[in-house]
Amino acid sequence: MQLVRRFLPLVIGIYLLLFFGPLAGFDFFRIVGEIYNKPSLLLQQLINGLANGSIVAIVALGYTLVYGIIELVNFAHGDVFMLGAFMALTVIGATGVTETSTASEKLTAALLAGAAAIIFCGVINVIIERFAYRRLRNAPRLAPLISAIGVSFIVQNIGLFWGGLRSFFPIMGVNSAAPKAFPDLIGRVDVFKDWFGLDLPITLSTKELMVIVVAAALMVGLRLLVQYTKIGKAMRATAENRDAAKIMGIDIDRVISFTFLLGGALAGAAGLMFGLYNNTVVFTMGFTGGLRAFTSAVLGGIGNITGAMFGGILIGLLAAFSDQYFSSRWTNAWVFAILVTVMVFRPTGLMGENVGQKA
Amino acid sequence: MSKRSYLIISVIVVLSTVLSACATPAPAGGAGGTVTVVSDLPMTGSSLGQTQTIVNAITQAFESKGNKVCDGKWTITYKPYDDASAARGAWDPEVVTKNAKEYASNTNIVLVIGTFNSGAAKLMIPILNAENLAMVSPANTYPGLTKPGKGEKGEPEVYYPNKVRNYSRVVPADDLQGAVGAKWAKELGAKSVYVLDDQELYGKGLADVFNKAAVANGLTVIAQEGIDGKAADYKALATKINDKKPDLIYFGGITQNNAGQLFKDIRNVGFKGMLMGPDGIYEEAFVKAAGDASENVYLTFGGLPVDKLTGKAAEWRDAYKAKFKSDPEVYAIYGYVSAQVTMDAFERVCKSGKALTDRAAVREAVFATKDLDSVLGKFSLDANGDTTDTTMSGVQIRKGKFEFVTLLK
Amino acid sequence: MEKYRTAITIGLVGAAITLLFGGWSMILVGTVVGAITGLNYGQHSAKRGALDKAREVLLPALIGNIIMGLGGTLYTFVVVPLTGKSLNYDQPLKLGTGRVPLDSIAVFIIGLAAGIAIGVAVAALIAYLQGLPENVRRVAFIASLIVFLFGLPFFDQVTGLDWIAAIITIQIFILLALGLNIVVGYAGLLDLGYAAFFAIGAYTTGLLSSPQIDIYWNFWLVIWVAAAMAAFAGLVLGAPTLPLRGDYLAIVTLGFGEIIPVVFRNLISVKLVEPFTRICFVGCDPKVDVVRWCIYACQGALDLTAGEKGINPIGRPMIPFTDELLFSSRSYLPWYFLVFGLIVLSIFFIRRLRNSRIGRAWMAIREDELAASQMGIDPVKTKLLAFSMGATFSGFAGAFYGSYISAIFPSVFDFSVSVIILCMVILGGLGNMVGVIIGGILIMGTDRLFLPQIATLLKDFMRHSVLGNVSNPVLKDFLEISVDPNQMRLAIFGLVLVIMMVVRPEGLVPSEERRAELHEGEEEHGDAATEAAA
Repeated sequence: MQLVRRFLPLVIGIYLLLFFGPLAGFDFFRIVGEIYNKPSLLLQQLINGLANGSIVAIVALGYTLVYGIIELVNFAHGDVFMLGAFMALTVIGATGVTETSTASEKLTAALLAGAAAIIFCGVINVIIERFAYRRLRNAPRLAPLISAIGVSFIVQNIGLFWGGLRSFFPIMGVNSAAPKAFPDLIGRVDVFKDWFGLDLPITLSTKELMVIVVAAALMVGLRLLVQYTKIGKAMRATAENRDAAKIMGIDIDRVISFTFLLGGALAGAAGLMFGLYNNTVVFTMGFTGGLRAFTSAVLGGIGNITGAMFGGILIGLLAAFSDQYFSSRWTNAWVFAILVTVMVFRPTGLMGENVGQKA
Repeated sequence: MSKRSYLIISVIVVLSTVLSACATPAPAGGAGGTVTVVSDLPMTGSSLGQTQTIVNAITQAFESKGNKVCDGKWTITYKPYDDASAARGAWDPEVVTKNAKEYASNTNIVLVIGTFNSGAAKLMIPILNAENLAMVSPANTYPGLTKPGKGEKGEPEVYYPNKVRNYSRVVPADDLQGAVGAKWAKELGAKSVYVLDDQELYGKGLADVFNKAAVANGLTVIAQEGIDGKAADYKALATKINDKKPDLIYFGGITQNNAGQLFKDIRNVGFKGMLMGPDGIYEEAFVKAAGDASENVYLTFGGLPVDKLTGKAAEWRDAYKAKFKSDPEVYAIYGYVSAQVTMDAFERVCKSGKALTDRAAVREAVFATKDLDSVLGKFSLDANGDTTDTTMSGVQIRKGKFEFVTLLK
Repeated sequence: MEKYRTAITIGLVGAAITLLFGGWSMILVGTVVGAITGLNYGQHSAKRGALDKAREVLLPALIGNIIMGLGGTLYTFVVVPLTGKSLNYDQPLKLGTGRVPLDSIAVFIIGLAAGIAIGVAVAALIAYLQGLPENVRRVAFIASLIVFLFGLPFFDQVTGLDWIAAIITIQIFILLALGLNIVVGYAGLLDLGYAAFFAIGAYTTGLLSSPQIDIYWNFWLVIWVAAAMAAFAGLVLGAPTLPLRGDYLAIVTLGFGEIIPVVFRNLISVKLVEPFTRICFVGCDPKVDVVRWCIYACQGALDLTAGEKGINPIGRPMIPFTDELLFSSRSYLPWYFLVFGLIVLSIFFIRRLRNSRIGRAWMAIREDELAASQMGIDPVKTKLLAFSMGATFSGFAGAFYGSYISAIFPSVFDFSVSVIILCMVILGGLGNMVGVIIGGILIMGTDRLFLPQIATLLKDFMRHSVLGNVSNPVLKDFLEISVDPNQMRLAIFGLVLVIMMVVRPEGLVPSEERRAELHEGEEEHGDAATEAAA
């Protein structure tokens, strides 16, 4: 009896999936057949998903960091990430480096752009906190959320405005709203083939390798910072109990400002990564990308650094899998359907309970 | 109390106005006066690049005649309306309806140049149809708006409750463009094609037509898929398509729905075959966004490319550049032609001795457009309101420039 | 001076509006300024007698309305010339089929005089009402409100102000916000995907009264079916969210909000086959597909929603027992009164709900779920009812919207709609219906009335007064292309949200409980949050 009750929802779920799934491109036997016939394709899509997920994950880190400390879903974070990409694009445009420049020139330009984007976004984020959120720290929970949505609109509009500055930055192109081309500074070199001389049916390009490595490095660095530095300790204390932390002599305002600086810097880095990886930036990318990132932060258990990374990669993998085996028209629905399913069975996200990690 | 005060005040207001201002009669008959022509285009958000050049071209057309028709008796006031809302950043059904009602009730408006989006046209036509108000669209390409049997069942009659056509367009509809695209694909030597669309009315409609025509031409259509125009990238989808090894990939959609990224990713995963797209990506912005991936992309579009234009069209292009300091986008010339259709119809209304404020007369005159000597060459409007000019060009992007390849039949 | 501060503030807000619209708008704004002034001073006045209250409000109301009039004056003598309009352009008064031509000076004089006079009179009236006994006051207050709302569209029509389309949109969104208020405000469940229910209501209407699948039901029936479908969807989508709290709940509702439009966009070739028995429910062609038998639409896959093409045209309401088409696509008045009626109905129902056992259960769950369930409240039932009741009203809104626009497209129901509705609820005052209505008017009014007007004026101003005087080509290009007021609408909108929230974090008109809570202490809130995380 116990067994029946345990497995009944599962059986019903599988039945419904078989019944309604074909509507959304889910045909179990076809998918199994395709994977069996060409497993390398699955591997290739895993790499694609991993790389895409890594970008999402870097943005998600910013969401989770801010949430961890003041429990605010900082809707504007995605748009700050967009500004980071625009800043990087502007700097690269100003240096005049293109695809045909030498490797050292490209590296210098990328580093310059990265530094500019990181500093710029960090400062912007601190300013946003100062003016839009600080006064609302003791307000009802949903007030800062609306404020954040408002800031998100403003920042998005700044991106649109920036994209229209063709008189000053020719790299922005003619139309303010149109997607901008981001110079391809990395190029596509197949790591397996060109570095190791392996002739595999799958490819891993330098771009993909770069985003995966950078995302992992940022996550590890962030965890180390939160875990072992003095300011990290202060952040954890503030997150745990703001009033107690204040009594202990921690300057709350400074800690929160620093958190936003860190979050903004991450957004700047993510903006540069996005530009280098996808080579297109557009002013709406923050809103849509932010939605995915926010989703993955919650999926992983919001407030948890490893969880955000994990959630981002999971969403990337899911989207790639759905594009390949279901139907690209339904990818968004599948991603969110699986999110809902996961949340129902783990109501605080995949790594939600892990309070010790809460930064 | 409040009601009474309202009554009293309104009586005072009405009386004082009636007494103080004596009504001047509206200009009657063919004596002349002022009429308003409006354009209904999305001017907020992503379409602005295209729509702005259309508005410019319309302004240019009217100003070239000093905003006067009928030997200076009638003055045309041109007013561009925006049918987009900030909340959506694109055309908004509510705004379209609101605008349509405004045009319908403002008797001074005698012709509407628009709409830009076929979805918006679906809403606007029935409202204006009831008022006999003529429309000339510079950009709608959805076949079902005018052509019986080319759209859903019941189209296009559902849009014309008055049983009289009031909607015309100066661009060829998609049933032509998609079909010639498929034919061209065969001529280019493709055997198998993969069809993509951006899941919008324009893109999907075009892709569907292409799909059908490709099958009819003996090509193998591997699959048709829709992309999410807001996604960050399409590498997964591109990997899937590349694995199927089609000879040609057709994308039905517009630049704004991330066409640049899509083409980049298709090339990034190593796809070596041909790429083709419609006039929705026939613009500078696409080349800018797609970069190297736009190289060798085939494009279809109605009419002749701007720099292939000779004679009048070339003169127009130069005049436009001189006036607005920028290149016209692909639909700008249709804006200009729409204005030409308008003025031509007005002239004929005057000749028949009717007033330009007579909407029915204007509507009839628009539909009677015959051998109009426009900047695009001579054309007429048929009984459905479609242009008889069905010139289709095939263009290829080479070194970032649109190079004319062939005329498509 | 202190005494008049409120009146001056109200007057300044009014002036900001008349500065943009000028002329006739002064009468409307004057009335509203007067009403708010009267309400405010009447309530806070130390005097008890009705006449005394009325007398006391006269001076502040006059000051407020004169300030309001200053906006209109500036419009006429500064804004109009700067934007290149001629001062004596025609603003006709439409009376039936006739038109009385008036130049803008005449309109200005009439508007200013009538605006101030009516404003002061209304203020006195409202203040007077405040002094009456409770039961009389309520009736009189509601009566004057109804007179105002009934007169509004006629005033709009006569003066050619053309606000009515925006007002109907505002009303639709108020209906939605009232529904969301049940979920977020009363039951405390953060819902980020409310547009999903709006879509379900609209699509139900679309399918049941359009050529799409050849069903043409009467609107008056369909609207109830749509509400019922939305309520049912509320139950179904609410069920999986039961174990979730706070932001986790929010993200799951957001997920539904994202899924539903995708579903409606892609149900264009529906074919449903039971996997084991091979019985086909919808859309099989027995000649092609291997199925036992087919139940519905057996000529191949069924196009249920027409995808991005949208369902079009959707039937309109008929007056019962006649064939007369009062609700035509051209007229606004019937639609205005229809949605007005829907709102009144909703307010009535929601008030009853709120004060009922269920309403108290919602608030108990909101305050402390654990304690509430210990007191014998079934959290599952209560939460599901909140979702489903909240969804019902968006079903009404969806049905009205579909019929009013006469077409629906999946892209109309995306995330930004959910966010806007949520903004209305929170900005107005969570859990307070008056607040929610004001929030709706403010936000949609900003989006549909003020921002387009600001953009138009700025654009005219640039074209007429600035661009001609700029000779530097780079600067000119920059001003022409980049400083496009149309493109700054989003930023202004965002700015309005931020400023409102920073100035009044508890919302414009917070509910009593909320206000009390806010001042009770924050540590409790902090504890609850750590608990939730644990």
